[in-house]
Amino acid sequence: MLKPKISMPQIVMLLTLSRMFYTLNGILLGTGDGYGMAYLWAIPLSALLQFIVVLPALFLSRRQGTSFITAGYSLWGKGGKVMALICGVYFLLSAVLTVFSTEQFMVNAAYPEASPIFFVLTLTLAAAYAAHLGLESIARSGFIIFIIFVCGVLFAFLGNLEQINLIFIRPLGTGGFGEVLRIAVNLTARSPEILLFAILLPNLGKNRGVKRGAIYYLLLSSLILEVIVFLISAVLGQLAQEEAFPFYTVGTLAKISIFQRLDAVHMSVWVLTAFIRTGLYLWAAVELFQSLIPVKKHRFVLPFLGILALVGGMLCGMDKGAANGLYSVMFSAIPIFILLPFISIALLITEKAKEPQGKGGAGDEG
Amino acid sequence: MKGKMAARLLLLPACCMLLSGCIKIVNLQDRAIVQGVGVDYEDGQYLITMQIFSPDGSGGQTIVDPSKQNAKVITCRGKTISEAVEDTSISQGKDFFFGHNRLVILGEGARKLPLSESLSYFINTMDSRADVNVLLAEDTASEVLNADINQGILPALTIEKTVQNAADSGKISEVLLIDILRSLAAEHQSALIPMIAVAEEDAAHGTEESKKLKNIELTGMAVFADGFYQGALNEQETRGMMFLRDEIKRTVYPVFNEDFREISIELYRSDTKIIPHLEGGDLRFTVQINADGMVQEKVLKEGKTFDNESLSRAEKALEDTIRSDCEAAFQKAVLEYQSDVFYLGDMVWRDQPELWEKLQDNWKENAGKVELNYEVEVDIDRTGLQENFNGVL
Repeated sequence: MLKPKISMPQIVMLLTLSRMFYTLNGILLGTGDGYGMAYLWAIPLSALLQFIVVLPALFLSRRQGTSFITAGYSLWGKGGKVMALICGVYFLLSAVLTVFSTEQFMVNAAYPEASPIFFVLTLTLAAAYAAHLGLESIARSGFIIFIIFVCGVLFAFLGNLEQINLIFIRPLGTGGFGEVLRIAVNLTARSPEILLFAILLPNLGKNRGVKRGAIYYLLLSSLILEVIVFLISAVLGQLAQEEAFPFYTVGTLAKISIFQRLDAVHMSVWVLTAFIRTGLYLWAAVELFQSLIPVKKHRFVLPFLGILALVGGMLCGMDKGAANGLYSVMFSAIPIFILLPFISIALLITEKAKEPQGKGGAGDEG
Repeated sequence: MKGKMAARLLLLPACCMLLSGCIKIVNLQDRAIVQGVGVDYEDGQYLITMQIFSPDGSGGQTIVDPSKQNAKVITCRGKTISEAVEDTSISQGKDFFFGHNRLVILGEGARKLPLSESLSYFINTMDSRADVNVLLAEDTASEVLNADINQGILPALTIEKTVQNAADSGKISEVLLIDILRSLAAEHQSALIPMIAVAEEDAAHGTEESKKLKNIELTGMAVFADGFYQGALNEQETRGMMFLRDEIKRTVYPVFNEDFREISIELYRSDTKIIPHLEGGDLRFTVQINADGMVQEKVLKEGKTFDNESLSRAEKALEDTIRSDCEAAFQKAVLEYQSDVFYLGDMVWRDQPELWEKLQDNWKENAGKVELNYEVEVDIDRTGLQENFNGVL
């Protein structure tokens, strides 16, 4: 089967868009420290941490000529399957969280009288269809939605120029570098995109340049995140800590001449972003789970995972304890700080150890 | 192939079922579009006055007649604002929509409640917007909303424009709901709300026409500390407050001195910086105000000339006036009302974080011990069209 090929710019835009979803929901983005100078400093530091974390995987990719999942199959055999399973579950849970967060936003900020199942069902169905169409389709839609998203952020920024006051930005305080580091670690832990980048490497088209691609992704996403956090901090001040959807509040305040009260536009942008994100993670989970089972059963994977995502989203909506539990697991340091770098390093060591005996055949994931 | 086509064809009507919406539909004629809300509190109950958009067509092709009020006023009572609005919604048979609300006016009775309580409904309800103007009525909010305002299409719109014009002219500070929420979120900050009153009838001077032209007036700024009303700033103190908060866009000062019977200077640009620093362990703030002015009108005294010296003296007089306005505002707001409305605490936090750690818990009391040093510089660089200036600018 021909692997889908997308370009590096498409990957960069797709992952940037996915990362920006977290700015919608203050709960997801909130690190318990509030917005302010510490956060603004933490964003570039988080970019640096993510680059360090992904570097072993990039190095492995260069040596093996494939992603670290495929390298896991070829070097560890059944151990590679365990890796694929863990990553697949991780991406599936990311999709569940995205569905849940979108549903929370819609029922709290837009349609309080609506039933949550409506949003969970429609978003999951749309995302499952996107996953079925494949990475190329998701990437093409992602490009268009990325442009719309950037226009939305630009409008929110320009429309709030009068509200911006630098004195509202919460100063660094005596916590200093420790506070910045803590926020940076939290931010990095909430960035599954960097793991997805490492897994998407085999899907790159002609223009590889993976290290450059990682740098471009981190720069672009950090720049947009910096603008959004600056806007929230300089407009809302300490109020941002108490807001459930701070960027949405900032968006509703934006006005340029007759262009005001464009809440529905901001909402649409976020729903589109949520759709791309859920579709992307569902697709990634499907690809990984399909690598674990025989080819003739592949057609059952997407419906099965779609149903799991649907049920997961509904469960989180009904039981806030389950949602909080899921947040703690997903946002702990383990997935990003341990899964990616340590496993990549372990694979490099295995490859080095096996070198005198010659490389094994690189197994195809499908 | 045929099965796939059939499935696609079935999908279309299935999608149409989803387009029916996910919430109850409310038609426009069943909605009451609220333009202004007044909140009064008496006898343990909220008295809510809502100004609803109600077009009064001129009978021709126009639905909205600009010469009419195009609004009607509804009053309701309840133990909470939600209860009052809900009960009236039932009795009126309309769904009140706050998405286009322009004003929230708190009455004298509501003033006695904490701000977070009287504004809680507007903070939490989904319809209400954070960019709505908030005002404090000198008497009752219902009196303001019931005032006979025939200028403009809507009375609430006229009030909103009045507030904006006054803010542009340096008379009062325009305060939105988001500004109040922001100051309530920070313990060391305090809130300001413009005060509004219905203009008194002046039988000696007022004709029917002048009464119609001036129905509402903005009388100053109310100061709230920890969400409770402390007092009000008068016109002079309000202007000083606006200088200290760097909110002056333009303002007109009349100056009377030895050279001029009267000279009106419009300050068309103003910039304020407040810098905290320690002097021998004591916290001081240096206030640097730089303003550019233009002469709008002048009447020279007999024997006096309009030259560099007289202009300098006018500038000096203006600098002294600005200094005294700022000091009056500081004395009233910070010392008397113990309210930090000038973000002094935030400046200390930003520039002297270690000092802020010590002062933040009792900032309101500590702020009263600080001193302000003023460095005011006014440069009148435009003398107007009348050609009698003897000098070089």
